[in-house]
Amino acid sequence: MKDWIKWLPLIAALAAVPWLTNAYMVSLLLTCLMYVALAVSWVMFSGPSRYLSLATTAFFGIGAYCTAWGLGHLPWPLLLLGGALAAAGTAALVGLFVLKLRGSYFAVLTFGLSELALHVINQTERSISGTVGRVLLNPPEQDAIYLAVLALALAAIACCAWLWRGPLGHALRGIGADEDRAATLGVNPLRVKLAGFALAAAFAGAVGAAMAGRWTYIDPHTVFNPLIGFQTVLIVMVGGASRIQGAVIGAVIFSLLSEFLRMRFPYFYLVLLGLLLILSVLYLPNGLIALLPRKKAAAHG
Amino acid sequence: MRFGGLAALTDVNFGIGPGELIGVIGPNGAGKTTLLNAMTGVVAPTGGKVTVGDEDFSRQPAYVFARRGIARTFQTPRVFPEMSLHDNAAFGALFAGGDLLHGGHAHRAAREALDYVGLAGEERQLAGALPPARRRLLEIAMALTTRPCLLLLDEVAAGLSPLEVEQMGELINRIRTEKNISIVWIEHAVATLMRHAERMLVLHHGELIADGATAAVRADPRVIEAYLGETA
Ligand SMILES: Nc1ncnc2c1ncn2[C@@H]1O[C@H](COP(=O)(O)OP(=O)(O)O)[C@@H](O)[C@H]1O
Ligand SMILES: [Mg+2]
Repeated sequence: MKDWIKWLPLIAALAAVPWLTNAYMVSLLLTCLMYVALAVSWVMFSGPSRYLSLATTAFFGIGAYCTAWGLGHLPWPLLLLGGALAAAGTAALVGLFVLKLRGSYFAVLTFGLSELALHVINQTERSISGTVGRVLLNPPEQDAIYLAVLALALAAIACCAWLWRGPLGHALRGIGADEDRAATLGVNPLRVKLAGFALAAAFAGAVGAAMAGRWTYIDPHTVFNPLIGFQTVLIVMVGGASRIQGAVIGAVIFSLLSEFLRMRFPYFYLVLLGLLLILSVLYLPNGLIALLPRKKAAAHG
Repeated sequence: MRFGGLAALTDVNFGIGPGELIGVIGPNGAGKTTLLNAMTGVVAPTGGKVTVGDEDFSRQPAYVFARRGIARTFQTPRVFPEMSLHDNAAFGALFAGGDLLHGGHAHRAAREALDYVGLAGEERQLAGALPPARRRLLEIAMALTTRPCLLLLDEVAAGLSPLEVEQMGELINRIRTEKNISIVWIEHAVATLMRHAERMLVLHHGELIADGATAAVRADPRVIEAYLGETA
């Protein structure tokens, strides 16, 4: 599969953005890339397995706190790695329990996980430092954050493509279609789900670790914002969960649209955004991606 | 095996030898499907023991049964509708047939199995588009790629035309003789079943009321009364 080569010019252009444009452009694209990375990380596990996770908030926040704690002690790339590992470790541990539940029980528990993580960190911070928030001294430049998030978005896309093509993706699709049936064909469902959930969490954690550098002050309520988890799911619903392009298109449209609406209609942009989302989910249940033709004919008799 | 107050299977004891083709009959609700569920880890038995070789498998999950070489079909076929026939058939090869590390092997196993059951040339079609009769064939192909030593079939001939029932019987017999796989075959098409199976089990209200050579079971007065009726 050499078709990623045709994307090289776009990737090069995105990487050159900090040198070619202004800070506003970089900031806008950074938000855009953050949603791309989060949406692709979400869809790599929840797309094929159909386990609707609201834990993105938890992983993002855990990653952000890794940066808050490690900034100044560790180099920037190691902070991202730390955020990824902390989130993946949390996912593997919590997954042992929540991945045994199905359907809405799983969704509700992953939402609970985000709340739980918020309060655990809140209490820890209170008992250690006596305060809730943290001031980030010497945060990285916006350009460094931008390049890190660009790299994470590309890595998430590559990882998702690799995952879906291989046996783990196959097993996740089997689990999504009929979990007990997949087990009668030799799949150990819990192990497969743990691997997929932890891999997805690693990307969300790394994105959180990178984005934390954007704030000069963070507290648990900022980084464990439930909207992050909901928006990620919505983006994939709007874009479509069956292909990676769906998550990417959804993220780009969502972030640009919300920025545009926020500038034009500062007082009721959230209402407009909500309406557009509802309409798109109602009239395009398989996402925007369903409007695009498939590259190769999927089936012939 | 009990479900709450209902005793679905009581005191059912039998063994399966290599290369045997065993037919299972009994009225609806007799516990035939429950028996297969207990023999594949789909439902853990509430009492009694399931052994494979010398090992106790009573508490093992379904995937362990599958990897140990016990494959099955379902009374209502359970294929993966949004996957191609090829991917459905490759599934078991990957996760139970030991082809995980050799993607090419799973591909070959899937093609061979689809070919074997008569679904060659339809590899790229989605399983969801398949008519029910052909879904049963696909399920057999899915089972074969797990490289089973024991294949459990739950009413694979139900809803087929008389000609198709005959072809199904031939296929099952071929699997037994050519691949030397033991088979337990639940079916209501008694005539076809008895032609191919050398041994019959008869379940009635969760009890094993007969287990023996087909000719002997056919003549057993209890079996005639419970299931076969006067016409047999
Ligand atoms: N999961 C279950 N929970 C409760 N009762 C069940 C369950 N599965 C089967 N049964 C009951 O066990 C009995 C045997 O069912 P089954 O094995 O499906 O019969 P058969 O396949 O011979 O028609 C029936 O009375 C059925 O209602
Ligand atoms: Mg049945």
